Amino acid sequence: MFDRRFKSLVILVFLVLMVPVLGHSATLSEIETEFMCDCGCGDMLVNCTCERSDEMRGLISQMNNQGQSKTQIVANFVSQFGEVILSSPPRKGFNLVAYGVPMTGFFFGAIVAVTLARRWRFSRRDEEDEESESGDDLSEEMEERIREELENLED
Amino acid sequence: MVELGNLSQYAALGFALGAIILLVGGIIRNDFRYIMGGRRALAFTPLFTTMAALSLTYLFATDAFQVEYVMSYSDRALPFFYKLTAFWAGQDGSLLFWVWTLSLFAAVVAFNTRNELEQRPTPYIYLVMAGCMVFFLFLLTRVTNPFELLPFTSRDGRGLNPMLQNPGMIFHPPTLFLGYVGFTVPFAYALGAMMGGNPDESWLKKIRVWSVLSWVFLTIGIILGGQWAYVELGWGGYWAWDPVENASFIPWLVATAFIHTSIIQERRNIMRVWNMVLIVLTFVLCLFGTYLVRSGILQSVHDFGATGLGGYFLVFMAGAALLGFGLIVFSYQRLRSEHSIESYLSRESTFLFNNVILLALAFATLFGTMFPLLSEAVTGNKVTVSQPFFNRVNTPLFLLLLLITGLCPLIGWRKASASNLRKNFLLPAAVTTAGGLGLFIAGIREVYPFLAVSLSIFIASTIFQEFWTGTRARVRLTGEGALIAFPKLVWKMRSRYGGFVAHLGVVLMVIGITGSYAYKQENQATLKQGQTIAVGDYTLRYDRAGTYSDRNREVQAAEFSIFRDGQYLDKMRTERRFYTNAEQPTTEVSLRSTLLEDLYVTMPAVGENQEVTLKVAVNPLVIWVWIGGFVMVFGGIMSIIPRFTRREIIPHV
Repeated sequence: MFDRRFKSLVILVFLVLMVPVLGHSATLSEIETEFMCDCGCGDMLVNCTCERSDEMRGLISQMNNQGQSKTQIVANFVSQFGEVILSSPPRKGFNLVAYGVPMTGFFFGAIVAVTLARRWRFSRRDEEDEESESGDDLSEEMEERIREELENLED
Repeated sequence: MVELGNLSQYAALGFALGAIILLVGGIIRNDFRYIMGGRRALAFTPLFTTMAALSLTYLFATDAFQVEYVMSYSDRALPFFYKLTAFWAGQDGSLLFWVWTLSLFAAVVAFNTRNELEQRPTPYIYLVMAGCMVFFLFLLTRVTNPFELLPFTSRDGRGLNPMLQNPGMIFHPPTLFLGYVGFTVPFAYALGAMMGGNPDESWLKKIRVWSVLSWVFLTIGIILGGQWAYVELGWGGYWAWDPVENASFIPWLVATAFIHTSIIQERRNIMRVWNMVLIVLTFVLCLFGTYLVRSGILQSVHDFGATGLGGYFLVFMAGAALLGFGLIVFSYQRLRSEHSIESYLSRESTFLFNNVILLALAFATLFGTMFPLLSEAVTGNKVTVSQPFFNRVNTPLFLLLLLITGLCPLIGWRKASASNLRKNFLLPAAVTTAGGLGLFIAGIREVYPFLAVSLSIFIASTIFQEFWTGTRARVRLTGEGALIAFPKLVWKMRSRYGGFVAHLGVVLMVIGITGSYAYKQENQATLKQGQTIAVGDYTLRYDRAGTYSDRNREVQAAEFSIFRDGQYLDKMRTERRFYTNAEQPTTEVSLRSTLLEDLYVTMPAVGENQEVTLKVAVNPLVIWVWIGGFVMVFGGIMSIIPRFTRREIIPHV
């Protein structure tokens, strides 16, 4: 019972948080962030101040006034200028590598770090076992005191 | 002066090569005299590089347009101060600046190690420094010489790129270079330690100041670059994930990871291999950044690419990577730590995970930057990877990094007990919950901004808790009042609290970045005299326009009255400048900055009948990006201020 209520509450909170995001319609400058300026400056359209960027903005504005959605405008631009006009690669085909590899790298790094930490931790336990066999054991209380003192030491 | 400059460069090259020969001889023959000679040769190089640098400065100051480099980056109309800073406007001067600072750093290293000549790593450290210097001096003398003469004397120069005629650009390149060059020293010490067969913790202690200072310079360089983009480029932002921006950010991320884990190695003698990998990687990435900029392999908003130096940098970078990583493999047994992480619930493990995230960010940025090349090579299709991609991929990682940054001070070294963690966690968690609720009520409900600001509150509260706990302990121990105990505590433990101050800077920056990106408002319109444009609470009325001539430019200027909620506030003025040496006009940003928001106005066009096109934006909290950057730099500097007095013995009361 509690579990179901809790889940409902979490979903409700999430939906409330997402309301502004879900109900959002694209503004002109949000559409502009989808494109690069094709004057060769290497700037995004939304950032560029050259004359060519004004022409491109005019084109977007015209399409928007005709009632085209963001997706339609993007498709129109791609058919006109090619995929290179997009400020980020579309999520399909080989481009998926661009999105997938960094995250895979992060998860791989995290797994390596956890594995390392586990190995270090266990080898430390083995050392501790050996130490306790040799009679160098410290009481937990003493260890805690030393730890606190170490933390309070000046660097 | 041209001859003096040329001769000085060759003399510096000769001395650096001499140093290498003597040092190698000394190492092979195990002869102390050779090593002394090599050290002296190394210490003399700044004399010649300084002469070369002064010669070039003189040539700029005196409009020596028979020199190709001076002619390319200066003209008679250029203000004197910019003539001096045109030194590093192009590749040749930048490399001379690089080698000049490198030689100075090498001399400081030679001085610092004057009593360590008998130690095995020392000659190897000199050798690496001299090797790097030879590479740059070779480029200067044989490939890209700033003293190259034209076959004729030009009457005037081409002038400095108008966009570089900005105070931010005076300091941005040299600070970045100082950061890049500075990491040569930790790299040299790391290699020296491995080659000398002594890769313990001693090298790390010696390079702490160098690594933090280089990181500080890199940070200043990056922030100044952002500030320059904000006030000069006119698009209203400060970071566009451009390849050249990324080129400086990637080594910064890895260097930040190194600075964190080097603290662990110093305290606990662990992560030796990891730290070696990080410092080699940092140095190689500094070179990679330069390669990216100089090779022109990627399209960038920076217009100084494709200079033919890429190949040389690629070879040098590959050599440095092979040597560094090869030595790590070779020294692996000696590098293995005697100690280890004891618990997942320890500060060491949070540092390790912070490293994983920082490296993942560096990797994601590097991969995204290089992806257009990869895509073209594999599919033949050209794609562009710009701001939206990096924001999408990196933002979750940044948020995770913020979470770890907040958790870190709550967890003790070695092994934290669950009860201690609960006790430490209580107050920051309560403050964060209250803060989050406040944000929600205030209408900040978009996922990323909400999380970013909430996590910033979490970090800030953990840091203030740290300050509070420390101050309370000092008050208890010494009987001092809290107002006296607090600054004394911070000053006496500045290496520890400097780090926290730097983290506070990060918090301020995150708040500034979140505010300015998520809640920016903008509007654009073409106005006739007397007409208005509104954005947010502001209304701008176009009052008048005019044209005038300045030294090296024609200027179109327009003046506006600003109103907020109907109340008159101020006048603003924006310009379009037509520099004599530029084909395209530049837009001069008009900025009204407060602690809460910036009113940002540019004028992309002026019509025939004096009608003006205005782009107006309200950028909330931008100033906190710069303040946060300053606090971060201050924290970094604070953490490396040396101790001047003996350690104080606190009397018990």
